[in-house]
Amino acid sequence: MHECAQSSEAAQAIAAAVAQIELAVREVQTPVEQLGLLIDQMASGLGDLRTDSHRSLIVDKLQKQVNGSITQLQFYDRLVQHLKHVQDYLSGAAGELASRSMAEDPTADVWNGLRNRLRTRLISESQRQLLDAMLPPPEGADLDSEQARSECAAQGSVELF
Amino acid sequence: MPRILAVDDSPSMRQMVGVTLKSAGYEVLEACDGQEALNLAKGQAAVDLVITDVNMPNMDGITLVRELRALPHYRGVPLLVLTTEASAEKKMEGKAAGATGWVVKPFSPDRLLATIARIVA
Repeated sequence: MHECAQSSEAAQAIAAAVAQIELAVREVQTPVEQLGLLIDQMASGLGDLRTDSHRSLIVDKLQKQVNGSITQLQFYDRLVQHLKHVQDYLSGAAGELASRSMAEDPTADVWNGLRNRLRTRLISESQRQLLDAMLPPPEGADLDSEQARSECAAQGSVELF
Repeated sequence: MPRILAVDDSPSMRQMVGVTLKSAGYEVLEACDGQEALNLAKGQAAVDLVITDVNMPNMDGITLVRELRALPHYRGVPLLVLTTEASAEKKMEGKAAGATGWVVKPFSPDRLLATIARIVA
């Protein structure tokens, strides 16, 4: 019975990690498509530079496309961060499972600790919502309030103090 | 032209921040974490602005801001945080440490440059 409970906890942890990986891949899809489109446009702009007389207009357009590429490329950084957190979570779970004897399986506190550490490291609301759906926090746990969620700054936002 | 210290543990992010700043004519110094940035600052590296990530090994960005504010020659230097951290709690922590502003990644080069121009003017 005890072993069944532990297997179930481990299976849930793995399923939650798989869901996070799927989300990470999905979140980077649009930026990668945008980046491909921008590179295509820049290549075309470079061709125009050789033949077109309106060079300054083309250069302005190219600058905008380079800037757009810089923005989209940052999603790669987000992807790497997200996957690193999932990797740490899985390593932590594997470490706990490996270091305990059968008589001393990881307790619910250990699983919750691993889950909470992952949750605090996740970098977007969609990532946290997915984790909460896959691995609901223990009864009475303090989830982000509606107010805390609404106070989260938007991607790309700038605030001067 | 003003000199900017860009601090991020991600080489690709340092590259993108560097390309953006250099395209506008800024001189750019780079550090791969808070500790390296602090060593540069303690080595009397004079800069007009620091742009730092938050989550980094060795020393995080909030600690870096706090440490820089304790250095007499960095007391008046603007310290801009550029991070994926979007929570109000983290932002308030940065503000309390002495950050000048908070930019959430992914940044738009135009917007970042406009913000910098405002800060270092």
